[in-house]
Amino acid sequence: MEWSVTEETGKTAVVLFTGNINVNDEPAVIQMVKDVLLPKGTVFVIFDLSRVEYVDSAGMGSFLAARSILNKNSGELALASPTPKIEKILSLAGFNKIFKIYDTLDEAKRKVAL
Amino acid sequence: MPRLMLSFPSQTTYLSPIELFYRKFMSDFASGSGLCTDEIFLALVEGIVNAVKHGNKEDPGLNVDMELLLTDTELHITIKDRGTGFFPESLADPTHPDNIALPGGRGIFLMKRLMDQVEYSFHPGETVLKMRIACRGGKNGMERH
Repeated sequence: MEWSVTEETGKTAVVLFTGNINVNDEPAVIQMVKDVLLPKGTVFVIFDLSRVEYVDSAGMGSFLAARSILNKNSGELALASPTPKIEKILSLAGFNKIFKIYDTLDEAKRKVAL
Repeated sequence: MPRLMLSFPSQTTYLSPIELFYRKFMSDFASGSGLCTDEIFLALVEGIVNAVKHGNKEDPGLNVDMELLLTDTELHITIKDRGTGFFPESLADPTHPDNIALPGGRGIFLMKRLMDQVEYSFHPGETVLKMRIACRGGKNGMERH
Protein backbone atom coordinates (compact mmCIF):
# COMPACT_ATOMS: atom_id res chain seq x y z
CA MET A 1 0.00 0.00 0.00
CA GLU A 2 1.11 3.53 -0.78
CA TRP A 3 -0.63 6.72 0.22
CA SER A 4 -0.25 10.40 -0.52
CA VAL A 5 -2.06 13.54 0.55
CA THR A 6 -3.31 14.88 -2.76
CA GLU A 7 -5.30 17.88 -1.54
CA GLU A 8 -5.36 19.98 1.61
CA THR A 9 -7.75 22.83 2.31
CA GLY A 10 -8.03 24.18 5.83
CA LYS A 11 -8.96 21.30 8.09
CA THR A 12 -9.72 18.97 5.18
CA ALA A 13 -7.47 16.60 3.28
CA VAL A 14 -7.78 13.98 0.58
CA VAL A 15 -5.60 10.90 0.97
CA LEU A 16 -5.12 8.75 -2.11
CA PHE A 17 -4.35 5.09 -1.48
CA THR A 18 -2.77 2.84 -4.08
CA GLY A 19 -2.50 -0.96 -4.06
CA ASN A 20 -3.72 -3.35 -1.39
CA ILE A 21 -4.75 -2.33 2.12
CA ASN A 22 -4.29 -5.39 4.25
CA VAL A 23 -3.18 -6.54 7.68
CA ASN A 24 0.36 -5.33 7.04
CA ASP A 25 -0.81 -1.78 6.33
CA GLU A 26 -3.05 -1.27 9.34
CA PRO A 27 -0.39 0.48 11.49
CA ALA A 28 0.63 2.78 8.64
CA VAL A 29 -2.92 4.05 8.12
CA ILE A 30 -3.33 4.84 11.80
CA GLN A 31 0.14 6.40 12.01
CA MET A 32 -0.62 8.56 9.00
CA VAL A 33 -3.69 10.01 10.69
CA LYS A 34 -1.95 10.53 14.04
CA ASP A 35 1.44 11.76 12.85
CA VAL A 36 0.73 13.51 9.57
CA LEU A 37 -2.84 14.79 9.54
CA LEU A 38 -3.67 15.63 13.15
CA PRO A 39 -0.51 17.71 13.84
CA LYS A 40 -1.56 20.00 10.99
CA GLY A 41 -5.06 20.32 12.37
CA THR A 42 -6.54 18.22 9.59
CA VAL A 43 -9.60 16.43 10.96
CA PHE A 44 -11.95 16.20 7.97
CA VAL A 45 -10.46 13.47 5.82
CA ILE A 46 -11.48 11.77 2.59
CA PHE A 47 -9.87 8.45 1.73
CA ASP A 48 -9.75 8.22 -2.06
CA LEU A 49 -10.06 4.47 -2.81
CA SER A 50 -10.08 4.72 -6.59
CA ARG A 51 -6.69 3.00 -6.90
CA VAL A 52 -7.18 0.38 -4.19
CA GLU A 53 -7.08 -3.17 -5.53
CA TYR A 54 -8.37 -4.92 -2.45
CA VAL A 55 -8.97 -4.19 1.21
CA ASP A 56 -9.17 -6.99 3.77
CA SER A 57 -10.89 -7.00 7.14
CA ALA A 58 -7.80 -5.63 8.88
CA GLY A 59 -7.63 -2.82 6.33
CA MET A 60 -11.25 -2.08 7.08
CA GLY A 61 -10.36 -2.13 10.76
CA SER A 62 -7.79 0.57 10.06
CA PHE A 63 -10.53 2.72 8.51
CA LEU A 64 -12.55 2.33 11.71
CA ALA A 65 -9.55 3.23 13.85
CA ALA A 66 -8.84 6.29 11.71
CA ARG A 67 -12.49 7.30 11.92
CA SER A 68 -12.44 6.93 15.69
CA ILE A 69 -9.33 9.10 16.03
CA LEU A 70 -10.81 11.81 13.82
CA ASN A 71 -14.19 11.69 15.61
CA LYS A 72 -12.43 12.20 18.94
CA ASN A 73 -10.91 15.34 17.47
CA SER A 74 -14.30 16.60 16.25
CA GLY A 75 -13.54 15.46 12.74
CA GLU A 76 -14.87 13.00 10.21
CA LEU A 77 -13.69 10.35 7.79
CA ALA A 78 -15.39 9.71 4.45
CA LEU A 79 -14.60 7.15 1.76
CA ALA A 80 -14.68 8.10 -1.90
CA SER A 81 -14.70 6.53 -5.36
CA PRO A 82 -14.32 2.89 -4.48
CA THR A 83 -14.19 0.52 -7.44
CA PRO A 84 -17.23 -1.75 -7.76
CA LYS A 85 -15.39 -4.68 -6.17
CA ILE A 86 -14.20 -2.57 -3.23
CA GLU A 87 -17.67 -1.11 -2.82
CA LYS A 88 -19.12 -4.61 -2.72
CA ILE A 89 -16.70 -5.70 0.02
CA LEU A 90 -17.38 -2.56 2.06
CA SER A 91 -21.12 -3.19 1.75
CA LEU A 92 -20.77 -6.86 2.73
CA ALA A 93 -18.99 -5.72 5.88
CA GLY A 94 -21.73 -3.20 6.63
CA PHE A 95 -19.48 -0.20 6.14
CA ASN A 96 -22.11 1.51 4.03
CA LYS A 97 -24.11 1.83 7.27
CA ILE A 98 -21.48 3.67 9.27
CA PHE A 99 -19.31 5.46 6.71
CA LYS A 100 -20.21 8.11 4.24
CA ILE A 101 -19.18 6.46 0.98
CA TYR A 102 -19.30 8.70 -2.08
CA ASP A 103 -19.22 7.44 -5.64
CA THR A 104 -16.87 10.19 -6.77
CA LEU A 105 -14.17 12.28 -5.18
CA ASP A 106 -15.85 15.47 -6.37
CA GLU A 107 -19.05 14.52 -4.58
CA ALA A 108 -17.11 13.74 -1.41
CA LYS A 109 -15.32 17.07 -1.54
CA ARG A 110 -18.62 18.89 -1.93
CA LYS A 111 -20.15 17.14 1.06
CA VAL A 112 -17.22 17.00 3.46
CA ALA A 113 -16.72 20.49 4.82
CA LEU A 114 -14.14 21.69 2.32
CA MET B 1 -6.43 -31.84 -11.19
CA PRO B 2 -4.49 -28.59 -10.77
CA ARG B 3 -3.20 -28.21 -7.25
CA LEU B 4 -1.13 -25.55 -5.51
CA MET B 5 0.44 -26.39 -2.16
CA LEU B 6 2.34 -23.85 -0.08
CA SER B 7 3.80 -24.00 3.40
CA PHE B 8 5.13 -20.82 4.95
CA PRO B 9 6.13 -19.37 8.34
CA SER B 10 3.50 -17.58 10.39
CA GLN B 11 4.18 -14.07 9.18
CA THR B 12 1.76 -11.93 7.23
CA THR B 13 4.64 -10.56 5.16
CA TYR B 14 4.26 -13.74 3.11
CA LEU B 15 0.95 -12.46 1.73
CA SER B 16 2.69 -10.76 -1.20
CA PRO B 17 4.46 -13.86 -2.56
CA ILE B 18 1.36 -15.93 -1.84
CA GLU B 19 -0.64 -13.53 -4.00
CA LEU B 20 1.81 -14.04 -6.87
CA PHE B 21 1.52 -17.84 -6.62
CA TYR B 22 -2.27 -17.61 -6.33
CA ARG B 23 -2.74 -15.33 -9.32
CA LYS B 24 -0.41 -17.47 -11.47
CA PHE B 25 -2.36 -20.59 -10.49
CA MET B 26 -5.72 -18.98 -11.27
CA SER B 27 -4.43 -17.50 -14.51
CA ASP B 28 -3.01 -20.84 -15.65
CA PHE B 29 -5.87 -23.10 -14.61
CA ALA B 30 -9.04 -21.16 -13.75
CA SER B 31 -9.30 -18.54 -16.47
CA GLY B 32 -12.40 -20.15 -17.97
CA SER B 33 -14.00 -21.15 -14.69
CA GLY B 34 -16.11 -18.07 -14.14
CA LEU B 35 -14.60 -17.65 -10.69
CA CYS B 36 -14.02 -14.19 -9.25
CA THR B 37 -10.33 -14.36 -8.48
CA ASP B 38 -10.29 -11.11 -6.50
CA GLU B 39 -13.05 -12.16 -4.13
CA ILE B 40 -11.56 -15.61 -3.65
CA PHE B 41 -8.20 -14.03 -2.91
CA LEU B 42 -9.79 -11.88 -0.23
CA ALA B 43 -11.31 -14.99 1.37
CA LEU B 44 -7.91 -16.67 1.11
CA VAL B 45 -6.21 -13.70 2.79
CA GLU B 46 -8.72 -13.73 5.63
CA GLY B 47 -8.16 -17.44 6.19
CA ILE B 48 -4.38 -17.08 6.12
CA VAL B 49 -4.36 -14.07 8.45
CA ASN B 50 -6.55 -15.92 10.93
CA ALA B 51 -4.21 -18.92 10.79
CA VAL B 52 -1.12 -16.76 11.25
CA LYS B 53 -2.43 -14.44 13.97
CA HIS B 54 -4.97 -16.48 15.90
CA GLY B 55 -3.95 -20.07 15.13
CA ASN B 56 -0.17 -19.93 15.25
CA LYS B 57 0.00 -16.69 17.27
CA GLU B 58 2.51 -15.31 14.73
CA ASP B 59 5.14 -17.82 15.83
CA PRO B 60 7.50 -17.94 12.82
CA GLY B 61 8.60 -21.39 13.93
CA LEU B 62 5.13 -22.71 13.14
CA ASN B 63 4.10 -23.08 9.53
CA VAL B 64 0.76 -22.47 7.86
CA ASP B 65 -0.10 -24.99 5.14
CA MET B 66 -2.28 -23.94 2.24
CA GLU B 67 -3.70 -25.89 -0.65
CA LEU B 68 -5.75 -24.89 -3.67
CA LEU B 69 -7.40 -27.69 -5.61
CA LEU B 70 -9.33 -26.99 -8.80
CA THR B 71 -11.73 -29.66 -9.98
CA ASP B 72 -13.95 -29.51 -13.05
CA THR B 73 -16.69 -27.92 -10.98
CA GLU B 74 -15.21 -26.34 -7.84
CA LEU B 75 -12.25 -24.63 -6.27
CA HIS B 76 -11.30 -26.05 -2.88
CA ILE B 77 -9.09 -24.16 -0.42
CA THR B 78 -7.58 -25.78 2.66
CA ILE B 79 -5.59 -23.84 5.27
CA LYS B 80 -4.03 -25.57 8.28
CA ASP B 81 -2.47 -24.03 11.34
CA ARG B 82 -1.19 -25.45 14.62
CA GLY B 83 -3.73 -23.71 16.81
CA THR B 84 -5.98 -25.15 19.45
CA GLY B 85 -9.19 -23.99 17.81
CA PHE B 86 -12.05 -21.76 18.78
CA PHE B 87 -15.83 -21.69 18.83
CA PRO B 88 -17.03 -20.43 15.44
CA GLU B 89 -20.62 -20.26 16.66
CA SER B 90 -19.55 -17.74 19.31
CA LEU B 91 -18.54 -15.19 16.70
CA ALA B 92 -20.85 -12.20 16.61
CA ASP B 93 -22.33 -10.75 13.44
CA PRO B 94 -20.02 -7.80 12.67
CA THR B 95 -22.79 -6.03 10.76
CA HIS B 96 -25.08 -5.95 13.82
CA PRO B 97 -25.49 -2.37 15.09
CA ASP B 98 -23.85 -3.34 18.39
CA ASN B 99 -20.75 -4.64 16.60
CA ILE B 100 -20.52 -2.54 13.48
CA ALA B 101 -17.94 -0.13 14.87
CA LEU B 102 -15.72 -2.80 16.41
CA PRO B 103 -12.37 -3.00 14.63
CA GLY B 104 -12.21 -6.82 14.39
CA GLY B 105 -14.40 -9.84 13.79
CA ARG B 106 -15.01 -9.50 10.08
CA GLY B 107 -12.64 -12.09 8.63
CA ILE B 108 -14.75 -15.24 8.94
CA PHE B 109 -17.89 -13.27 8.16
CA LEU B 110 -16.39 -12.10 4.86
CA MET B 111 -15.15 -15.60 4.00
CA LYS B 112 -18.68 -16.94 4.46
CA ARG B 113 -20.13 -14.25 2.26
CA LEU B 114 -17.58 -14.70 -0.51
CA MET B 115 -17.40 -18.49 -0.65
CA ASP B 116 -20.09 -21.16 -1.03
CA GLN B 117 -18.96 -23.15 1.99
CA VAL B 118 -16.63 -22.39 4.90
CA GLU B 119 -15.92 -25.00 7.56
CA TYR B 120 -13.47 -25.17 10.42
CA SER B 121 -12.52 -28.45 12.02
CA PHE B 122 -10.35 -28.89 15.07
CA HIS B 123 -7.92 -31.70 15.75
CA PRO B 124 -5.21 -32.22 18.36
CA GLY B 125 -2.57 -29.63 17.52
CA GLU B 126 -4.21 -28.58 14.29
CA THR B 127 -7.00 -26.36 13.02
CA VAL B 128 -8.21 -26.95 9.48
CA LEU B 129 -10.16 -24.44 7.42
CA LYS B 130 -11.86 -25.76 4.30
CA MET B 131 -13.53 -23.45 1.81
CA ARG B 132 -15.25 -24.30 -1.42
CA ILE B 133 -16.75 -22.35 -4.31
CA ALA B 134 -18.46 -23.61 -7.45
CA CYS B 135 -17.07 -22.66 -10.83
CA ARG B 136 -20.43 -21.85 -12.36
CA GLY B 137 -23.37 -19.72 -11.33
CA GLY B 138 -23.68 -16.52 -9.36
CA LYS B 139 -23.39 -15.77 -5.69
CA ASN B 140 -24.96 -12.87 -3.86
CA GLY B 141 -26.52 -11.87 -7.13
CA MET B 142 -23.13 -10.81 -8.48
CA GLU B 143 -21.64 -12.06 -11.69
CA ARG B 144 -18.33 -13.81 -11.21
CA HIS B 145 -15.47 -12.41 -13.21
